[in-house]
Amino acid sequence: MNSYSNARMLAFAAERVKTRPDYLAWVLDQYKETEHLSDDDLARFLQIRISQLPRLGLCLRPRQDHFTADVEQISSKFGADSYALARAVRLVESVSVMATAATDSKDSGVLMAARARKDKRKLQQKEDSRDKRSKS
Amino acid sequence: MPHINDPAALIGLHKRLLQGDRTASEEIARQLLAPLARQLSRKFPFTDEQIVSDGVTDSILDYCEKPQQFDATRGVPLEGFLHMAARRNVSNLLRGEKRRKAREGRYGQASLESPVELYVSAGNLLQEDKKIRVQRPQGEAITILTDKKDQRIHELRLQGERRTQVFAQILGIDHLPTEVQRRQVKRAKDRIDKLLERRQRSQS
Repeated sequence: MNSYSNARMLAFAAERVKTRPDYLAWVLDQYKETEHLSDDDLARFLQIRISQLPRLGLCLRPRQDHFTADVEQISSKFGADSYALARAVRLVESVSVMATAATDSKDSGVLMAARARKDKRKLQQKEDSRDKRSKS
Repeated sequence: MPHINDPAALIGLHKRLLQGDRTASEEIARQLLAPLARQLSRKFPFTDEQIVSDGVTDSILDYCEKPQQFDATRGVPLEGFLHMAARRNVSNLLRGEKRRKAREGRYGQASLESPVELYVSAGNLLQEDKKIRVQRPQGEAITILTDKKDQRIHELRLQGERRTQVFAQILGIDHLPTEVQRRQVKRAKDRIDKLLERRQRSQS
């Protein structure tokens, strides 16, 4: 059946994998969005052919503890500029760390506010009981 | 199950994945996606291509993310393992699709039988108003919608067409996953409605 040809299935997978943060496709898609790039721009930036992007995206993203080796391995396989690839991955990582930090700080603010109110109530109760004790 | 690939080569790729090789996933996908999809399409002969493709793709991507889930010592070849995972995915997707259709059918029936809904003087005037604004005759719509694809989509909607796949073909996105197609088709329809509504407002 022609509809399940290699090229078609690869294109399909390359699109689907963009939703999975463990893959390079997700990272490169985020990078494109952050830097407002088209597929052509991205391919030029990585110094590869645009037709190589789907295959590159199906690689797993570089690990933190083997970053340099992983980036080298991926870029040498596709003939990509390793410096550009590393830069793209690092930028996306920083953006997502900042986004997570922003969400965390917002949440912790809510928790702190809730905690503070609870503490005030406790303090008030303690003071009340102390007053009662001193009166009696 | 027909033979897909050299089992020794696949075990080699599996070992590379376990060792943290970042490019092995691409090689596995390239070797197994199409053959697995063809096998699955024979198992599910009347099933939508998108569902089969989703099931197969997810099985390979899931496995590459966690290659430890495949135990080579159990005697099941990797392609057999992935075939089973893909079959399970397709069955789950089909069950989900069946449930969605049943739910839509129930809601559709409920709204038809509802004594208060769909009576123009009783309510939902806003919706009716939008319907009138958007459902312009095709001749008039052509002057507003300059894009050929938009014109064709509007024409089909006037004829009562509702299938996402048909609109996806017009937009040239029928190779994309079902959810992406659904989202993009909805976006196109909303954009067309907005264009027609805007013109109506400027005329009145």
